[in-house]
Amino acid sequence: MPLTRTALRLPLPATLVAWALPEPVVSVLREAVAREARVALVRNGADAQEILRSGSSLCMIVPVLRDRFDPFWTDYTVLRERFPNIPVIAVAMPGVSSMQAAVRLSQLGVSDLLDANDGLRAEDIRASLSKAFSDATAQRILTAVEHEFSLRGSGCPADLTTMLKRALRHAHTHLPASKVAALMQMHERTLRKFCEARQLPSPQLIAGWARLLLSALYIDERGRTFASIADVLGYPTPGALRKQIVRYTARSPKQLRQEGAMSIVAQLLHQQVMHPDAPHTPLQDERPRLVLLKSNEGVA
Amino acid sequence: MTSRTPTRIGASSASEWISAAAAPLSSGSDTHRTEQLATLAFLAASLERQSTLTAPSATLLATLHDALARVPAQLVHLPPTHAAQPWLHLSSLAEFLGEPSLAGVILNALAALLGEHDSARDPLDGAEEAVRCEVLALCWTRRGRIARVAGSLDDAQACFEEALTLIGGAPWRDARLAAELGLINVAVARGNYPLVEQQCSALLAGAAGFLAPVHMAATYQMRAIARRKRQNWLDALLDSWSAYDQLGHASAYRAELVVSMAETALEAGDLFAAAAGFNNAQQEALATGAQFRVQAAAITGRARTINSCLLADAARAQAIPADEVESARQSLVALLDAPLAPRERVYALVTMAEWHLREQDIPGARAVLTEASTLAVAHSYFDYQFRTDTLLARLSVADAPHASATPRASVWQEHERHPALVRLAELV
Repeated sequence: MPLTRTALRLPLPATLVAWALPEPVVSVLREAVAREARVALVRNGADAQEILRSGSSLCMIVPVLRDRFDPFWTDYTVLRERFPNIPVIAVAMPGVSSMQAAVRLSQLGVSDLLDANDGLRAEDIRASLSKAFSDATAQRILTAVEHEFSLRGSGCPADLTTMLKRALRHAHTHLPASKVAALMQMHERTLRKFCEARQLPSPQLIAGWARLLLSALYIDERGRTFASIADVLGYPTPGALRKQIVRYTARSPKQLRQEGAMSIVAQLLHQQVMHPDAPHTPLQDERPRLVLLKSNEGVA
Repeated sequence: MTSRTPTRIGASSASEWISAAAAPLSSGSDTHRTEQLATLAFLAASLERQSTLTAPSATLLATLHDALARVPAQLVHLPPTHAAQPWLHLSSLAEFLGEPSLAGVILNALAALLGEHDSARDPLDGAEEAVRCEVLALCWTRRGRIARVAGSLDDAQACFEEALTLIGGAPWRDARLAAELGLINVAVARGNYPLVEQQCSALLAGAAGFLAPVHMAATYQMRAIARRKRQNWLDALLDSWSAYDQLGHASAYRAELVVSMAETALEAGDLFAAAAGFNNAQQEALATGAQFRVQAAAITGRARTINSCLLADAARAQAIPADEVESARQSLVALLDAPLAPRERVYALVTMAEWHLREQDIPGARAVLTEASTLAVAHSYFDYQFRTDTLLARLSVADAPHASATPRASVWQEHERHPALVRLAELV
């Protein structure tokens, strides 16, 4: 029975910090990521801290150690307090892990759980790393959104933050409202009512904003072409992404980059949430304005 | 349908669930349960990563063998070799262990692998598509059940209706039965008892041959609840015994049925049988590892029974040891501090209010009734709204006379006891 879904080739973190992992596990990690990421093997908290402080696009991979008196625990706890937003993948290994330890580790937050009892597979590692990358990206975007909201004297509503956080993690692909509803563990109909009751934009609009925020993050990155952004976000053509940007922001991608894409998109989201009836708020049903750009034109 | 919206937000992934649940799990005393749940989280995480539906890790599954054996089989039509079977069983285990949010994570991952329902394809198009729709519909019925238990009745109804839409005109199988039973369960939760009785009777008459024992038991039990509301005590008890006999000796659902029978006995005025039933249910719930809500119902029921005894004639009231009265009260107070599902909480609050009323503590009764009423309105529990309104009206009567203490007329006489009640009393 073909119960399959297409495996997406999502971005991976640039550096993997493999901490206190045995050499065979590190080898599997290296093979899995090939040249797409650097694997840094560290043995203690000081080494880990040095890498975390200097780098960006990181992910820590740590073992689930049953021995609660292992020095790893002290170092790790201190490090997590200092770098709470670094994504972490916990690996359960035969002989050294216990489920109680997994719970203890998760108290400090984990992005994914890998079980190595039956061996590690390259596709599992890559999927985990993609998830960690999405988590970290979502966190960066949320921080920017919350900053924009606080600049305007209002916090981002908690329910919107939850919805955006979940939507952002899956914003690399087409994101229908039904998917957002599943992420909220609700039926789509219920989620619509949920949003109405809290005066939030509709789930479809929130999904659109999540995709747009992610586009904005990439647009602000130097060296990315517009075509590559459309590709990584799974738009059928760059024109489709352009249409989406114009519909939500009334700006061309080029204008958006010039003005600071993330800041503008976050401002417009704030406007949509706090002043939904304001005259310049783009609407879902508004027809896209015609923007004449060549199809191969980049935003740079 | 009401316009109320739920506040329930479950986790969106296994890692999110374990990160949120880790602190309460690590502080809990039940290490075995913690290990089972963490294992489930690892399995759920592996399902989330799958691009082709495959079996769970044999090593991790082996550690859950005993726990899985305690979860009653719920699927009789889905081929046992189908790749979705173990995952559906694991989601049931998560629900059984009192973590519906984790069950939801497994169901979401499974549904994502199965793909969205394509309305262009019909379940009748081919056997494979029919099974895919069946499993997808099963995921929706489980989501519906999770929503119902969480008190999100509108959401639950939407999920069950979605399941029925997915199945379309396909023949009766597990998903259709679960969806139909789910909708009846929503009607029970809303207090629409005439509909419940009518639909259960129709289901027992028309689809009994397709029902798994656990579903058969559920159908009998829901009809029992409806009949109890009609004060048709004996028919209700007989339905409950029919449900009880459908289940095996080790079934954790038995305790739930005994609670229901004890409630019937209490309403019928057979306080002795009721007390025996609640005590037995509490013990059986602990022995079989039944869900906490069953223990909660047994504790609340016991408190109600003792309260009723104290309201009855003086001779009967004096027969209850003082420490038993105090123990029942303390258990109820402790229960109200525990994280209860909304329906169980309303029930416990109403019982507490009745207790306060008997003790002539009118402000105390009013405070808990106000909370109960708010919760009942928020979740559209019409029967409890009716009960809280009735009790509040009694409180409003000038000086709240000791009307509540009117002795209950006992319909029970030892020599007239029906065999159904004798069997319940002998459960001690």
